[in-house]
Amino acid sequence: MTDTRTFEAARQWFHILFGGFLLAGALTLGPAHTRLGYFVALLIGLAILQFKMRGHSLPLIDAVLQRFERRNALFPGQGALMYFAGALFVLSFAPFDFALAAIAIVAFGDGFATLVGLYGKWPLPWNPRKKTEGLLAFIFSAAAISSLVLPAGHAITYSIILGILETIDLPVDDNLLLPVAATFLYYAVPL
Amino acid sequence: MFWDQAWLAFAVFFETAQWFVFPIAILAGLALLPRRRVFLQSLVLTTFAAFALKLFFQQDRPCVVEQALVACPPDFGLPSIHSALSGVFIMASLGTRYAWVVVPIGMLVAYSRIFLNVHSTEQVIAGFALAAIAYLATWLHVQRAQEKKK
Repeated sequence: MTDTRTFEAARQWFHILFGGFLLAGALTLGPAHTRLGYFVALLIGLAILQFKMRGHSLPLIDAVLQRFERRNALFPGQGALMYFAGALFVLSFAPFDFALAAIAIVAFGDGFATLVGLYGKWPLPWNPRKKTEGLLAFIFSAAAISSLVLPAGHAITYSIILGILETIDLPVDDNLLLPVAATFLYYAVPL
Repeated sequence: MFWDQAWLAFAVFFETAQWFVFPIAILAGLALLPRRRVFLQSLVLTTFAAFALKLFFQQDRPCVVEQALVACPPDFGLPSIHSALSGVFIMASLGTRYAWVVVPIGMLVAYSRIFLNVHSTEQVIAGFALAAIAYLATWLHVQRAQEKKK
């Protein structure tokens, strides 16, 4: 259990820090170059996946995957690919500021929810596999980071809705679900 | 000069013969590519979602303002369906030797939309994003359903 927690904690810190790095880059590059950058990153990820699925060894990539990839991943680099696909979707279909907020919510909210939830004590009534502490961590961290680009009230509202959505066990990866849901929310629940 | 003409012919071909080319490509994909169920389901999902998004956003094509190299299609521009379908083919070919053919053709088809000025770069990228989401979500869903059956 301790090994699983340690592995998952390291994974989530990597997720958070990597997300922070990408956000900083996006704020520097602006909308058009960010979109293009994420698109190129997705293509590079697909190229790496092609090499891996054809049985080729890529030492540096293999080391990162060994360290951070979940054991039940459907394919190598699943988490990263889904993260970039989800981010590119919200960047393509929502205004830039909101897209950055959604990406920040996925990176920080999801990351801190898992980190804190690993050590949480109070299961959620609607999903005992997840912890109340994790949900609160999601909301607070997501609201804090997304309020850098959105009005505070909007940041809190979206963080609460997406945080609750994240606690529901749906058959879709959070890295895909949350950005698509955020995009839908932006137009369905105009604030 | 020859390559310019060839490239223009390629781009125009995928605009004018799309209703002929894509069905043949889909049949070839079903015959040759693995994960057939994922391929077909994600194609359907991507197509419906793309048409729905076009109607929702109602974003004009760049050829509405500046002339295109072909007749400007009458529908809206966001997202590019050509690039969305190319994206599905690219995702579906991953892990196979056909990817070395499918990926360059898919990328060229997508870029040809920008070259002809019937789509902007953002509209083409949006098509790819939609395809990636649809294919990955479908792949996960089908895989989990198969694991549950076992």
